[in-house]
Amino acid sequence: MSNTSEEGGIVYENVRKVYTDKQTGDDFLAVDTVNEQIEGGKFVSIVGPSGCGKTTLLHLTHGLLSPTDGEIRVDGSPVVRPRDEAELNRTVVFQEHNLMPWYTVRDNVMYGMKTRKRLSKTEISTTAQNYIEMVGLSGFENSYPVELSGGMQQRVNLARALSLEPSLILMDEPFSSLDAQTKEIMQEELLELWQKERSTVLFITHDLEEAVFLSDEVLVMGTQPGRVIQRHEIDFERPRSRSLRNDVEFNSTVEQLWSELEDEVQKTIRM
Amino acid sequence: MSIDKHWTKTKGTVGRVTPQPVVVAYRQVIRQYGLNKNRVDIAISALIGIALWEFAGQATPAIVFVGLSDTLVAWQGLIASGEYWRHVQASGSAFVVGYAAAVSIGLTIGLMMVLSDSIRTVVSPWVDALYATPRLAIAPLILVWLGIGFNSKVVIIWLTAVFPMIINTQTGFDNVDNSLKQVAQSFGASQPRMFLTVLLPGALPYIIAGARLATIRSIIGVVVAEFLGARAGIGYLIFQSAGQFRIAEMLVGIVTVAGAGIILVRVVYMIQYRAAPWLKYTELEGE
Repeated sequence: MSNTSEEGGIVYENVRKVYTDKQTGDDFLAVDTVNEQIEGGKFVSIVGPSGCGKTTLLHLTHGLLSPTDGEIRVDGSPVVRPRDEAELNRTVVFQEHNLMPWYTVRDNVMYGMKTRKRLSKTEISTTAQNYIEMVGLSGFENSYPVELSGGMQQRVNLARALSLEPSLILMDEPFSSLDAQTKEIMQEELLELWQKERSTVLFITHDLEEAVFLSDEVLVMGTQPGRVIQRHEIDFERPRSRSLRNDVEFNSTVEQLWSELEDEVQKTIRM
Repeated sequence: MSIDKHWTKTKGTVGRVTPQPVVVAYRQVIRQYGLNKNRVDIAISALIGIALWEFAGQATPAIVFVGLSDTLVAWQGLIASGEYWRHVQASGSAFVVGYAAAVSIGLTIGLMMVLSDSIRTVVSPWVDALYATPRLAIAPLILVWLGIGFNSKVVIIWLTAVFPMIINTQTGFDNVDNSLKQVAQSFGASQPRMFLTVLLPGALPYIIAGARLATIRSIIGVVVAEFLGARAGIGYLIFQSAGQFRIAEMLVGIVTVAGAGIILVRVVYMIQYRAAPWLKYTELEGE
């Protein structure tokens, strides 16, 4: 049995999310009765067709949204909306366009730490420098985001999230806008970082290969309503490298996920 | 359609491959002396303009048009008599007060409209209506109310310049990237921190563009106010000189206004580079 109260563990208990259309008053069931437990320190991906509620589930887990029914606990305590004073045991890495264009790399990395108000100035700048080095951006501290490539921007984004040393990192398709080669490099780098930090990662993607390559577990979500339909353990040996993609078993796992998803994807196309 | 485009593109490329010999020589000179091509281009353009101006002035009678040389003589005369500074001071002081009021009040009104939906609902139609009304149509009313002088000038300038400031402030805050607000929220940013770190810098490009538009409109406002009724000022100088066919003195006024426009817009740009260094990498929006 997994130890879910351990650092970074997530428990979903009968979680439902209903959106109500403000104009028509119609209800839309975005996430239907999710009951899952995720062990602390695991790398878990969620895959599913577009509009299946993946991002909603991620926002619920962070507290940006609150569930209509049920409860979510991280580190054993119920998730509440992130606030100024409270400690934040979780951070989000968003898709793209999420660095402040008016801040340099250093100021962007420091943003989360400064918002939390729990560290001294010197601590903040030393920590920022550490993470900038860790993601390989030394020398770019004073650059503005527009001066950086997409891959470099996502590194800054990663450093900003990691700098808070969260027990849970929520990633919302962070590499989806990168080109194929950059994406593969970023995936390997992410695994390296994760191996050092060992936070729990909840990673949302629609790229099945990406999910299998990165994860310990993959949750498959179906649509209409959005719900978890399958859960897979992925037990390829770590550290993993690019060559894993040529592995027969790797490819059959991807194939299996794809066959589970096919019907769900068809649903969204026929809509 | 797509074939057309392709053809034009090809044609353009061919054109670039074989430039005129004059152009080749020009580029060579610039490279040889290590000059800034942009600056040289501007200087050449200015010299050609001045030469045409002088030529047109020489070719026509003095009551129709005069060249740069006659304009400079008239300028010197106006400076010597103290007239010029009297006009500059009259226009300049009204500009400073009117512009400052337009920027600060415009920013405040715009911000209030952003912060409160009910204020927006009430104020918005008035802003739209007054923005659409030509200033020339309102200005006489202001003169009737306030009489000729400093106060009516300031009000006319304010009315001319305040609207781009209001509208740009509003547009700026409305267009702040939602995903950045979400980032700030995800880190638990408080309302004041959200305002200072996301909303204000996000709106800044539009606000600065508004301030730049307000600069130009304030200059127009000065001249309009002084045309309609004034006892001193650059606009007054232009209007009076034109009435008496003193073309050289009129041109002194026009050149002064044009020069002020160029310098003031430069100043706004300089402030912008200081206040918002990241904007040198992006196109300014909201204009």
